[in-house]
Amino acid sequence: MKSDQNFCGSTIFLRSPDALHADLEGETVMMSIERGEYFGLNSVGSRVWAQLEAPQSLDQLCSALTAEYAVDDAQCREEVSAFLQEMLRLGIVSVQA
Amino acid sequence: MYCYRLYQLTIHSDIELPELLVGSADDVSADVLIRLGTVAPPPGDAGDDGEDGLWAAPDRFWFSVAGVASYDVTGGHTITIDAAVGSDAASIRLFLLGSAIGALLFQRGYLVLHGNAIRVGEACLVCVGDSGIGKSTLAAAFLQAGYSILADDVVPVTADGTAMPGMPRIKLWQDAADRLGLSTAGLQRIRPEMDKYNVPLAEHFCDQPLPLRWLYLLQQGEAGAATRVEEVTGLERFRVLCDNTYRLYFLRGMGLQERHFRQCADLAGRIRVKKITRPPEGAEPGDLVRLILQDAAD
Repeated sequence: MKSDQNFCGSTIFLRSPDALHADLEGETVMMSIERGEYFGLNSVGSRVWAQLEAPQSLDQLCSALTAEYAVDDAQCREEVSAFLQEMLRLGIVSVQA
Repeated sequence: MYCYRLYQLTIHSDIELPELLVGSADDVSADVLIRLGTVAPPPGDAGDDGEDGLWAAPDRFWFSVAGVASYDVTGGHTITIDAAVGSDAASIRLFLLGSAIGALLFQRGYLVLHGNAIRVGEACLVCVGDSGIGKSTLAAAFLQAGYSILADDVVPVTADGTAMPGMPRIKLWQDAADRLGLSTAGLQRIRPEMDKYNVPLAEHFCDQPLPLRWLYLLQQGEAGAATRVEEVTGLERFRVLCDNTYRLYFLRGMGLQERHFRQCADLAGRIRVKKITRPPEGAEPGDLVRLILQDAAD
């Protein structure tokens, strides 16, 4: 999977203030007010979102997730990068300036 | 000045609203005032061209229906109606008791669903679905089966998941009435040019608030497949509530998207959400009623 990375491992990500989230029986539903769209997070997305309670870099996110799940760093990076790209596109996370 | 009760609110109205439950003459203070008066057009050009228009802000909601009236809804307590020349009373009331009241209920903090609320025991179920799917026909079928209706079309729900009772009438298309063997002779049309009638509920109106326990989404499936009921789980429950909110498109201008999101997420956790899929050629309304009641009893 090609990832259009325009960020590096140390870029800090944070939750957008206008992104709403709610827990529905273990699944996370999110809404971007600005875009008027809502969507659900899969298990990877839900974990990354939970970690982003405090601003984190890709390095930090993968470090936490590989400790928690039996997944190697390369695979983790690929999945989490893809998730972050999508969340950037949807406007629910942003990059710390 | 006329007094009414609607959704547990005391209404004082300049115009007669025969569809509503009459209120007590002792209700000196009103929750809601409905007045005839001049309505200033909203900022910008939403109001100018004599076409239908809509404008929403957190403190004020305005809409206009060509040839009928302009409506201003403010503060969750005042609706002002500026009637167009040559407008008819039934049309004025139709939009008053629909979009105007809907906007008012949003201003007052309710989650408002677009469907019909039917009493089942000490709780209620709400049937929702796209326009034309058969919600009113189904409501009338429940009536025929002896059940009572709390609300038709506009169903306000409180934070603790209670549905509020509306007015003792449902709106029914002529062809739905024909299908159910109901006569529309002597009934009033909801608008002069429409083949849809106000059907009084009489003793089949449930005038008490009830906890909402089930939501049934009516939808159309493939030809030939039997009608079935399925549970809606997880995230999709939230989506069903969002999609079946009354006049969802009002909410952005009113600045209520965040609150609406929270209300839907909260209600999704409290109720059973089901979808009932019927074939394109339709299903016997009586069969749908039986299927739903059987499902709700489980």
